[in-house]
Amino acid sequence: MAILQKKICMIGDFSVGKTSLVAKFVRQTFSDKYLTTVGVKIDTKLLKLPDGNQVKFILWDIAGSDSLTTTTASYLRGAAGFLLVVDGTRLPTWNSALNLRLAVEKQIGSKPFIILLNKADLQEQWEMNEQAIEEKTKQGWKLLTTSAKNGMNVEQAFLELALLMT
Amino acid sequence: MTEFPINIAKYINSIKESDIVACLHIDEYDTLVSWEGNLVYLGISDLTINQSITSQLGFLEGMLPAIDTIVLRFVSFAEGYYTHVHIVSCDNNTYVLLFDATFEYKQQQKMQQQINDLKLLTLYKDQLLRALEEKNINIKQVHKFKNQFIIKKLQSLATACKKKFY
Ligand SMILES: Nc1nc2c(ncn2[C@@H]2O[C@H](COP(=O)(O)OP(=O)(O)OP(=O)(O)O)[C@@H](O)[C@H]2O)c(=O)[nH]1
Ligand SMILES: [Mg+2]
Repeated sequence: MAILQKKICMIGDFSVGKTSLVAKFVRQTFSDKYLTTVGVKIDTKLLKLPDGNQVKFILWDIAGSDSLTTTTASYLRGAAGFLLVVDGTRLPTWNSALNLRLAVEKQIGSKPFIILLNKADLQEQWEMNEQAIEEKTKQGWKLLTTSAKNGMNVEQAFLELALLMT
Repeated sequence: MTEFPINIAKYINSIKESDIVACLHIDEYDTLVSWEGNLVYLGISDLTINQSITSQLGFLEGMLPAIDTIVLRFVSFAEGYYTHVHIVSCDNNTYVLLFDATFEYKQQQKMQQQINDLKLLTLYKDQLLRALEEKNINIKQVHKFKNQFIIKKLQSLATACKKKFY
């Protein structure tokens, strides 16, 4: 039987850690150096689900932006779900994520997503508003605190998205 | 692939892209009919005809069949390879045209990196200024409390002296 394939998009403002999260998930690597993505980088990863089934993730690591451009919008076609990444040390990236979610929904309709509050290893610089987070959780949104640096919740994030999509 | 259908040839001539590197012909059932070009140059390993294209090229998952022309700018399938992908429909079939974008990518990446680095620096500067301002307010507050304390102490001392000598 052919393995199920799912297209997943990494979305968020620039430098929030999209490429780093994919690198950690796919290759178990992390680099402190910032090399911005232009366009889109495609990776694949086979994921084993708790029920024993396998799913092949086609990961679209899209260039960061605070809004959806025509170029980035074209990358979204056929996406089964997305990870919305926020840099926990930069509050404006939270607002970008909220705007992006609306724009993505307009483009491809309602799809499963998870908000990742990334860079959790930098707690002393944390700028997230607990009240805003709580509000979204109450609305039924799934949020996870992650770190591409120490690996916290990285595998979990992709796994939970896979579960939301099945 | 012996030759392009006339509409595809016209399309290639009408767009301003650099040299075409590869072309894939896919039928309405997502089966690869034929392909031509230098796929290794794009970081794509060999393709097998008469087989599903999405199982061979995961990035086409969700993209087919193409109703309108889809243009994906700066797609990277492998480290160091960058491509502009045009997905064009013609007579119920789909043609995936791949153009080399490596040179253009390098220029664009350099520019975007400078813009993002500058944005981050401005942001960190603002964060530092805010922290400095908070510290200044704290210092002023401490000075105010210190002065109030000294005044109170002096006043109570003066009252005590008055009581003792008069
Ligand atoms: N401390 C820490 N740094 C991180 C983490 N994730 C990413 N970074 C750093 O943040 C910077 C940006 O990371 P990227 O993964 O390139 O961010 P991006 O979202 O892909 O950025 P764009 O491609 O420009 O949109 C890099 O210097 C990373 O090393 C993290 O969890 N913790
Ligand atoms: Mg990136």
